[in-house]
This record gives sequence, structure tokens and C-alpha cells, in this order.
Amino acid sequence: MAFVIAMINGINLGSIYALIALGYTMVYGIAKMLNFAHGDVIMAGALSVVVLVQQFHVHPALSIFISVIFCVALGVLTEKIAYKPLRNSSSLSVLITAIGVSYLMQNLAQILFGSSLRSFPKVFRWPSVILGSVEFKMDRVITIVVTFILMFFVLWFVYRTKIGLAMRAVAQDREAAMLMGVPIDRIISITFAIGAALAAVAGFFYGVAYGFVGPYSGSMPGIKAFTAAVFGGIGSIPGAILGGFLLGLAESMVKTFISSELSDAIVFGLLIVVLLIKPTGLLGKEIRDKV
Amino acid sequence: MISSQAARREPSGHPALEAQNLSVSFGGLNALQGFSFQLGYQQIGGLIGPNGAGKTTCFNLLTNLYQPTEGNIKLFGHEIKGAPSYHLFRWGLGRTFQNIRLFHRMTVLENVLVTQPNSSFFRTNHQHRKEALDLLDFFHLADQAEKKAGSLPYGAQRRLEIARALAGNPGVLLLDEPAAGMNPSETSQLAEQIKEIRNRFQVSILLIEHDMHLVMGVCDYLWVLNFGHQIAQGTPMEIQRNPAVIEAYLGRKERSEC
Amino acid sequence: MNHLWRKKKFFLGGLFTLLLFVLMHSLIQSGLVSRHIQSLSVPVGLNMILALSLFLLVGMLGELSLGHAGFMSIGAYAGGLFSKAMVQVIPVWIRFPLALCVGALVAALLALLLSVPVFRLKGDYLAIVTLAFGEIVRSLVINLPFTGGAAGLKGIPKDTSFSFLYWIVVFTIWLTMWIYSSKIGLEWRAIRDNAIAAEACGIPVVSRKRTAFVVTASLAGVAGVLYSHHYSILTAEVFGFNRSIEVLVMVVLGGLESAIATAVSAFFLTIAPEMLRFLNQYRMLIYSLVLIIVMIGRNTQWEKPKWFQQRRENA
Repeated sequence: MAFVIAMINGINLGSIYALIALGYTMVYGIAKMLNFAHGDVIMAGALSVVVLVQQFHVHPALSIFISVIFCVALGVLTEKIAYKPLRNSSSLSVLITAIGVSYLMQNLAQILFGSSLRSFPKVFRWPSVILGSVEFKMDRVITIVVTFILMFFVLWFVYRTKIGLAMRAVAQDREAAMLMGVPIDRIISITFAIGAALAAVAGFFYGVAYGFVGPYSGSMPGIKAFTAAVFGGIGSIPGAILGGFLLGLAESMVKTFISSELSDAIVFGLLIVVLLIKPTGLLGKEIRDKV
Repeated sequence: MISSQAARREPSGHPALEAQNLSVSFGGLNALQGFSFQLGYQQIGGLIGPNGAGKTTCFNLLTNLYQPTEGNIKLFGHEIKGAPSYHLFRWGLGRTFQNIRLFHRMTVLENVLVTQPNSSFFRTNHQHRKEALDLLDFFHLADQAEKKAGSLPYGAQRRLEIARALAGNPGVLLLDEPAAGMNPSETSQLAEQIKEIRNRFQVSILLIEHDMHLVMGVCDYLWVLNFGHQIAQGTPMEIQRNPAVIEAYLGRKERSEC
Repeated sequence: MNHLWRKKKFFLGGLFTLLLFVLMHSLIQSGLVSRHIQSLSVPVGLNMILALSLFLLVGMLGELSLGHAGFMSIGAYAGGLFSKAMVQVIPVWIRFPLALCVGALVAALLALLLSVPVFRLKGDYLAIVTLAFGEIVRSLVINLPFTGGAAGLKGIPKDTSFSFLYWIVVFTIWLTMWIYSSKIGLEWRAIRDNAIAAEACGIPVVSRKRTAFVVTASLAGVAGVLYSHHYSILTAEVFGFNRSIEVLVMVVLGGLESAIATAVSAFFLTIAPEMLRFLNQYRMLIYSLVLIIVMIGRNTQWEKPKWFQQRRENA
């Protein structure tokens, strides 16, 4: 039974990681940058739900939509203001800028809402489903179902629509895509918007799962989802999904059966081992340098 | 393996560089198929052919940037296939690149200092700097020694790349399109310089080049590749008369171009 | 000519550092410097060492590490545990140098272990492995039986004195500058600029990268030992991801080209938050804003103002 529960917890956690990792991997694939502030968009999403529900008494269902819109605006704005001027700079400069943006968001949140953790509103009040002796908590089920729907939507969007085609073109060769008339700026904005929307949803489910949110809540899931994206092969969308779920499952299993204190060490150790066996991640493609 | 510098300087009876049946394929495409050649001691050889013929691939196989599926490579009679690139350089095989690959954020002088074989682990000393400056002087770069390599004009960058390879005291020098992007006067200067390099540094040179004036004026011997196959070999005079080359490479009615 | 100038520069640099030391030491001894500023000298010195050591890797070799604090942590704990065990056995003037060696060696050893497989990876993958490494170290330190756990390792002898710290910082600056112009420094920079050309020019790229990684880690280990022997108490949280990032920011803002600039950058970025203390809660906000503005400003090609261009044309 412990195994089934650990499985469900792992898939739940994996859903959150996968949603965040999708944002990392899409931005990396198209803008060729590690968006370190992505984790803080999660925090922004979750905190905005808390504030909306507790202070403005907005209905939780509505608060999700507002928080998604807010995060999309945040993501697109940071890209326009902070990252766009650096588009042709070294990746290190962009990385440091992203770190600056991350600090900025954390400190803004801290000044506006205080540094203490706030309890996340109880959104799902439905009873759990009990099958045999296993209890399926409703929030877990909803998290997993919504994540799957969103993932299929992203896959459909990237692989079946014209904008998705343009995105893949930009990811492969930005200059060539530009010469063929693909509006690079708009495509990058759309990518950031999708990433931020997914992060907002992930932030919501993170809040539901953990019950507390503070200004620094985004960094740890951010780092883990980032490793999940690398794990699956950064730049690969199916890779991010796979990596997210595997990381969530691994973490949950280690916590249940080995040691909850050492879970981070073991999960990160696993990541190193996978990268050493397959240096480009599980589904990443090897890029050959042309000599 | 090849230890003494002197071994490279004296004719040993072996060709400087030779390859037998060199082949490689990338995903089913035979980029190079059964190519053999022998570059003699202090000879200047030319590798010519249309774009995509496999010339640069051949260089990459010789310097072990790609691994050949078949064939042998010998440097001064020693088998070198599979040895890491940096060993090959130390054993006397220097090269330049088609798309210039300088250490662009280092100074011109540092670009040369870094490949000197005898400078120790420690600070490069006075003697090394003097040698490096002499070498740069030969390439008319000495007055720009303290500039960043990336800030040099195109032609100077090409010359610096050759200087960098020569600083390693090679026995064989591979030049990948040394005249690409140069204007006609620069190119004719380069032609003279290549011959001077051979005489002064006692190296054998194998070069890839599209500029036929340069190739015909400089090379002692030519190999012609097309679609990964060798279609002809011989002296420049023979190649110019070879009907297969004229048809496949120079184009049917444009002989005047050579 | 060049030769003589270099000797002269070396002599002048030595004289300057000596005079600076005498000045600072006497200021501290005479009590003219407030306790607050005096206590700042330790983080400043530590950050200078950390930034310089990371400069070797990021600035000279061109590889990104996000787990620098992990090596500092290892050095701090190894040195701290050594000193704690030896506090009754060996007199301080041998014990502390030995502790420094222990910290450097253990960090170097782990770096070597990690570097054997890791340099098969490229670019961002190395960054992620170092990140993972830092997190593993943090997590292990909390849970190992002999590190004091989350409560921290207490009772490390306070051996780090101002003079000791000062001369180690000077040594680190000198070492970094020396490496920069030595053959191995040239080779690292060649790898940074073009790894394929470097390999084809006789430089064993993978082995040189390993060397750089090990040197970097051992210097971070030294900084760790100095840290633990100043504050006397160690907790794993001090060496988290944010610490690695903080040092990385110092290195990048230092311009990635010179050791002196890196040291200066570390100096100012350490005291800046202290100077901004009057801003209270807005301190880190300002810091992050300045960071973003500086990064954007530095990477923007500013157009020359019209009047400037015209004047040039007239002249």
C-alpha cells in the first residue's frame, strides 16, 4: 500500500515538476537561455492566489485565472525589459541577468507580503475517493488530470499549429527562421507567455500540495524542475515531461522507502549518474560541432 | 612514438604524411571513400575539388577530429590513426581551419606562445617571447603582437592561424583554404609566403584551396576529389589537362578559369 | 626592457601590499577602526578568495560552475573537524596551516573525483552537475553523523587572524595573476576561446579542464577553512546555492578578464550591501535592480551622441 501511495504522491509531485520544466525547456530551446527567474514565477502565481482569496475574497476558481493572467504579464514583461536587450550577448550575461530578475521578484514579494509563509487556501473541499484500502485525495487527482490536459495542449500547440511550427523553426535556427519571415520577437514572447502560464498553474498546485507559500518558495521547485528538464534533455518538450515525472517519482520513492532527509542528495546524485551515462539527457539530441 | 624533432627534419625514406584507403561515412553518406595519398618530404600538395567533395572531411580524419571507418594514416612512417588530436600536434602535424578558429580573446602574441612545444609549465620566458615575435615578424604581425586576435582584419587572422600552427614546430602543415576571403593581391602574397614557409621551416604542406591561381602556382602535386572519391591525381600540368577533372570540377567550357 | 619592467612591477606590487598591511594592521591595533568595519574584513577577504578561485574556472577556462559553495563547505568542514580533533595535540602555528592544507586537499580530492567523468559533458550540463553537487554536499552535511547536523558544528578554534587572512588573499591574487600569464593559463584561455582549435594545437583539453577544476576547488576549500576558523560555528545552510550565485555574480561583474578586476569586484560587492544597510528592507531590491541594469548597460552597444560624431568629423 505504501508503494501505491508513494506512486500517487510521486506522480502528483512529478506533475508540478513537469509543468515547470516545460517552461524551462521551451524557453531554453527557443531563446537559448536558462531562465533562472522561472522558479519565482511559480511563487508569484501561488502568492497571488493567496492574496486574491484571503484579502479580496475572490472565488478560488476565478483566482486561478487571474493569477495565470498576472504571471503571463510578468513573464512577458521581464522578457521584454530584461532579456531582450541581451539577446546577442553571452549566455553568462543572460544568466546573471536572470538571477538578478529572480532576486528582484523575491525581494519585491518580501516587501509587499512579508517574509513569513502564508497558508494556502483550502481550495478543494471534495471528499477523497477510496478504492479498496487506498485513499485518493481529490486534490491529487485534479492536479494530475489538469497537468495531463495541459501537457497534451502544449504538445498539440507545438507540433500541430502554425505558431508551434514557427517556434520549432526558431529553436532550430533563429537566423534562418528570421530570414524566412518568422516574427522572432513575437514567437519568443509567446514562449515566455506559455511558460509563465504553466508556472502559474504549477504554483497553484504546489500551494495546494504543500499548504504554505512564501517569497522564497519558488526557488527549490525551480531548481528541481530545472534539473528535471536537463534530466530529460534540455530543449526537448517530451523530455521535460518525462524528466519531471521521473524526478517526482524518484523523490517520492526515496522519501518513502530510503530516507526523507537524504532524498535531495539521492535525487541529485541520480541526476549526475544519468548525465554521465547519457550526457545530453534522456531524450536530448547530440549536437555535433561543425569543424 | 615520434620523439625527436630531428626525425622530422631529415628525409627518412618515409613520406611525410600518407594515407591508405581512408574512408568515412556519416549516416549512410560516404563522405570519403577509399582515398589514398602520399605527401613527400617538403612537398607542397594540394587537395582540390568542388564543395562537398570531402576535402575538409579528409583533414578532420587526418587530425582525428572524426574517426575513419577504414584506412590507415602514417606520419613519417608511424601509424597515427586513433591518436588524440593534441598528440598529433605534438608529433608534428599542425593545421588551420576553414572557418578561422583563433583564440580571439587572447593577444596575437599569446596565440603563438600557447602552442610553443618547449615552453615550460611555468611562465613563458624571455627566449620564448623572442622566438614568438620572430615568427610573427615573418608573417608581418609583430607590430600587432599585443592586440586581441579577434580584432585583426580577416587576412591577418588567416596568417596568424598559420603562425600559430608553425609555432608548434610541425613537420607537416595542413592548410584549409588559406586564401579564402583574401583579395587578389593578398592571395598572391600568400602564394609566395607558402613557398617561403616550406623552405624556411622545412615543412611538408598539404592545402585545400579553391583559388586555382594559387593552387597551380604553389603545389607540386594535386589530388582531385569529387563526391568523396578521388577522380584524379598528378602535377598541376597533368591536372589541368585531365578531361575528367575539367568535366567534373572546372566545368565543361570554363577552362579559362584555371 | 619588458623583463626589467616586469621585475619592477613585481617589486612595486610587493611594496604596496606590505605597506597596506602595515597600515591596516596598525589601524586595527590602535582601535581607530570601528568593530563593525573590522568584522567586515573577514567576508571581504573570503569573498575575494572565492571570487578569484571561481575566476580561474569561469573567466579563464570558460566553464560555468553553480556549486562553488559546495567546495567551500567541504573545505570548511574538513578543516574544522581536523582542528577540533587536534586542538589539544598540535600547537596553533602548525595546526592552522595544516588545517588549511587538509581543507584544500579534501576539496581538491572531491573535485578530482567529480572531474574524472564530468568533463565529458559540455556547457550547461557541467553547470547543472556542479549545481547538483552543491545540493548533495549541503544535504549530506545536514545528515552525516559527524558534522553536527542542522544544529551546526560548534567549537572550532578561532585561528583565523587578520594578518593570516590578509596574506592568503595576497597570495591568491598573486597566484591567479601568475597563472593567467603562465603556460597553463594560456592553455586554459585557449580552451575557453576555441576548444576544437586548442585540441588541434596540442592542448589536452580534458586533462587541462580537470586541473583547473581541482585548483579552483582547493582554493575554495582554503576559503572554507578560513571561514570555519573565524566564525567557529558551521551550518550547512551557509554554503547553499545562493552563496555560489553570489560569488558567480562577483566574477561576472569583474569582467572575466583580469584577476585584479575580479578582486575589486568582490571587494565592492561585499561591502555594498553593508553600505546600503540604511535602506533596510529595500537593500536587496536595490542590489538586484542595479545588477540587472549593469548587465543590460554593459551589453548594449551605445550609439555615440550626434554632437560627438559631428565634432569628430569636423576635426
